[in-house]
Amino acid sequence: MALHLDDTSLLAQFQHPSTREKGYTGIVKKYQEKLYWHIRRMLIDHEDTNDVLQQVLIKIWNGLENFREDSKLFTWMYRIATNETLTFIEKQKKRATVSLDQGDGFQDKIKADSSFNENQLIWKLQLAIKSLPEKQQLVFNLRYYDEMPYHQMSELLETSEGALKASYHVAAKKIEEIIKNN
Amino acid sequence: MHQNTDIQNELETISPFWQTLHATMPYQVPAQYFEELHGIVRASIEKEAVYAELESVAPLLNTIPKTNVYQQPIAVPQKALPVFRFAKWAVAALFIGVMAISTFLYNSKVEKFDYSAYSTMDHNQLMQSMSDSTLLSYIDAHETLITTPDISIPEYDVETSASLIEKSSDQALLEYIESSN
Repeated sequence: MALHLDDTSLLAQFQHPSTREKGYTGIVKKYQEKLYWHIRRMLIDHEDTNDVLQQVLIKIWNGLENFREDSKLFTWMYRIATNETLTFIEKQKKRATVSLDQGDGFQDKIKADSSFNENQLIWKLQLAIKSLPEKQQLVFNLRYYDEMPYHQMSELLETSEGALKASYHVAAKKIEEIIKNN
Repeated sequence: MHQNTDIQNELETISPFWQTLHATMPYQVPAQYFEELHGIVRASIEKEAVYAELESVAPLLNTIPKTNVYQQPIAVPQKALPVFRFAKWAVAALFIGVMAISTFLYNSKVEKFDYSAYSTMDHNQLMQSMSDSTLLSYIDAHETLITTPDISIPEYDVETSASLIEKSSDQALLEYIESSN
């Protein structure tokens, strides 16, 4: 596992013109996997995830110069990734409406995965998560997979910690119910 | 199961069902994806910078597709390039140049012969110092160059000589004998 510099050092490198490239590379290498999985859990498809992630990383490059350390770098990047992904989903939904497609198609995308196995609990969990409303999916994924503290999630989603906790609990119960009933 | 015990405990307070699940993702990522991603993104950033620059100067140009309008000729034998047309002349010039330089260098290296040494040379001593075999081999080798004097012995007519003696006076004969000695 590669060792990464702390965010302050990486940002300091980025602010200096001679080490700007190095600082950006350090930031990308440190957070690319976390950002990838955050997006992939929402979009399922790798190609869609790749497109959105590239857009996110370009936006990070363009925005880093004006980044103020009043929020954590990681939270700031997650916010960009979340907004880009939700915008992508909205566009897909509009396209699906125009083509009279049924649903958002994420369940089909999960089933289309080459290693999908409907009898495995791990895949049942993916199908169950995708049946939740978008905001609940997001909260559940951030807490369950990314193990994000509520205060950080609150900063990211601009929602109170109490509301997030309630949302997470409701999501967990729904998922359990869906899996048990199938 | 989670490594973070707080999160695992929280889930178990919701339901014991969550004890049976592992927080792992079943999806696959293409090989080398994370190793190559940074390079791809850097290329995209450069591309975007080029687009933004043109957009600020001449936005119309960004609306024109950057496709190549030219086509390569199909299966037409390639004509010799003009450079090959002049190649033979170039080779000839090069050959002449090499020859001229070689001649110049050769001539500049030939030692100047000191002919004045011959005037002070003692030929007799030189000849005596050479062995007969050396002289003979030299003569054999340079046979055509050595001009031998044409020595011809006139036939001796005994009768003519006798009549000449008879005709000569004693005085003349005595003078001849004296001059021959």
